[in-house]
Amino acid sequence: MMGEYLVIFLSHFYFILLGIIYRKKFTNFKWYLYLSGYLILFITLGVYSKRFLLFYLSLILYSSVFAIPSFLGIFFIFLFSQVIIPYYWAQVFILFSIFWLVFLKFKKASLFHKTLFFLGAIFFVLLFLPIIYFLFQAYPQELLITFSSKPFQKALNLSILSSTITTLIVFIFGVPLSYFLASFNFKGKKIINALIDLPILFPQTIVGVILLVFLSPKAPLGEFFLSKGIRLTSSIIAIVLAQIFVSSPFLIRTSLNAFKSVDKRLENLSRVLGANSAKTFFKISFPLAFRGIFNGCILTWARSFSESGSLMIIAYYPKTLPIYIYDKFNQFGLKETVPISILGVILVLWIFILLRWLVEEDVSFERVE
Amino acid sequence: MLVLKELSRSWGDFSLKDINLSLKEKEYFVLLGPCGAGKTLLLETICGLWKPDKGKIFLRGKNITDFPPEDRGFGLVYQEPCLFPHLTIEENIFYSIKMKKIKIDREKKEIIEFIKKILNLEELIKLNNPNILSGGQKQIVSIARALFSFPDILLLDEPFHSLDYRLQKYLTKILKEINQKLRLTIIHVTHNLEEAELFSSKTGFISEGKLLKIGSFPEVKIFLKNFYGI
Repeated sequence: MMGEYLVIFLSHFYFILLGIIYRKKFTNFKWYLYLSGYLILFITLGVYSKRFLLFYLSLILYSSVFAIPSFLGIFFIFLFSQVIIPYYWAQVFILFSIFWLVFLKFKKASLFHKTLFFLGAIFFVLLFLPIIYFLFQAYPQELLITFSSKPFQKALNLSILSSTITTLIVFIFGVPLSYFLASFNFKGKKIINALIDLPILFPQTIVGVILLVFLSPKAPLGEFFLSKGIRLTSSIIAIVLAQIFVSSPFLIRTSLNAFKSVDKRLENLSRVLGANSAKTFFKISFPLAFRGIFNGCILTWARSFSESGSLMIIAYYPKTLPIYIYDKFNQFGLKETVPISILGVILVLWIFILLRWLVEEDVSFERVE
Repeated sequence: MLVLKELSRSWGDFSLKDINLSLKEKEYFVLLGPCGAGKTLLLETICGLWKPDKGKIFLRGKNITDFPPEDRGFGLVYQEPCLFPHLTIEENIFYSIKMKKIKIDREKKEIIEFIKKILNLEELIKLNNPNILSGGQKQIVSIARALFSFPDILLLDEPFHSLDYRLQKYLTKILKEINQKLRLTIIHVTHNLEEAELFSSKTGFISEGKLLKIGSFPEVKIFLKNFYGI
């Protein structure tokens, strides 16, 4: 009992002490705001959820961070996520804190822009809440054990390797194609343009069937390679081929748009100034379209990495990560699958952020704030 | 110096029809014409960016109709200043020297120094990033870039279009000086009569893809009066 009185006394003493300091520092309005904060804390934590100890502690925190808007906002987000949505408090807290920190930069924006931001924020929360909730579903030890297991590492390595090979191949053949389409007009261009996107439209399993019919040991091509000792199905070759099929449209489409957005006059000037068409491509068009192309590479890589439907048919073995997860799920159920999937999510996020950061860091003069 | 023989080129619904033109060395030719008259298309065809449907282009007596743009020896400046945004100002200015692997002898060095001085390039080069330049500064850099390809003929496509009056005057003076000193033939496209009057040793008028009149500026002015009925 004695201890609780001490906490009550100290927390209120601290609150009043800082109140006196703030009285001198802030305008009347802000000072009243400071006082009403007490009321809000008292009602939500004390009266509503009857957690008085938390109330005293948060009072100390509240008075300390009141002068710093970013901290104050995070504090209240923490509080409300605790009181209103206790089940998802951590996830909600993380997401909203990020939004709050971003929002502070738009303080002076118009109401319209604030509304835009608000709507976008809600959408983001809906999208990412499941992912972040999911990340909390396993203990670090579990993740560590899963990560060090051999089959997992094998599947992960295979996934990374095959997606990287796929991206390289699509880059080598897709970028020239998109530059060609962006620079020349010819009959039938519209048809080619439409065909590029076709692989996205097929259900993944159909892609698997198409490739299996073409590459299986009974098909002419498969037979030929098998006679040379190369098996096309159930091998990394099959994985890469399937991945190329489903992911190439992303790189081709984005780099096509990137090349189109390069000012034609710059290419013209480069030619007139003495660079032939190849030099113009490497010196002007490619560097200017690089950001778009790189984004296309990221998309293609990510799409390849996540491909599973067609692989189930054409290359169940060797197992890529998505197949490995599916396999685990079939054999052992959800509980076994969660830690692997979490690791998958973390790795993909990590690679994604790293790549984005790389392309943002790219020191070009393209855009100046 | 430059001879165009019945040059024709269509571009969508629009077409250049039978353009005949002959320019002497050191001539400052001003091509007048309303918007959409085909002025830019004509310059780009001369440069080799479009293949003509018909007709021939001769430069110093050589038929260059089928030459690619990089082998023709023209300099081009567009209406809006188009600098390579991912290169530094210096890289922009010396782009052509690097691409054509031009050897700088004493004569060329003198020209470079002269242009650097007259356009005050040293100051601009120090700024490094072309995207922070004003419209006028960008246009100066574009002109310098075109000049440093040591062209036989400089093609200017409404170069003063987006510049303020003071800068127009300043660049007019400089272009005249360059024209005299470097013995450079210049084709200057504009729709501004006043601009034409300041420059011209020879003036042409183009409308709807046809070169309707070539002569001295007063002659073309009289022709225009009759043409538009003003």
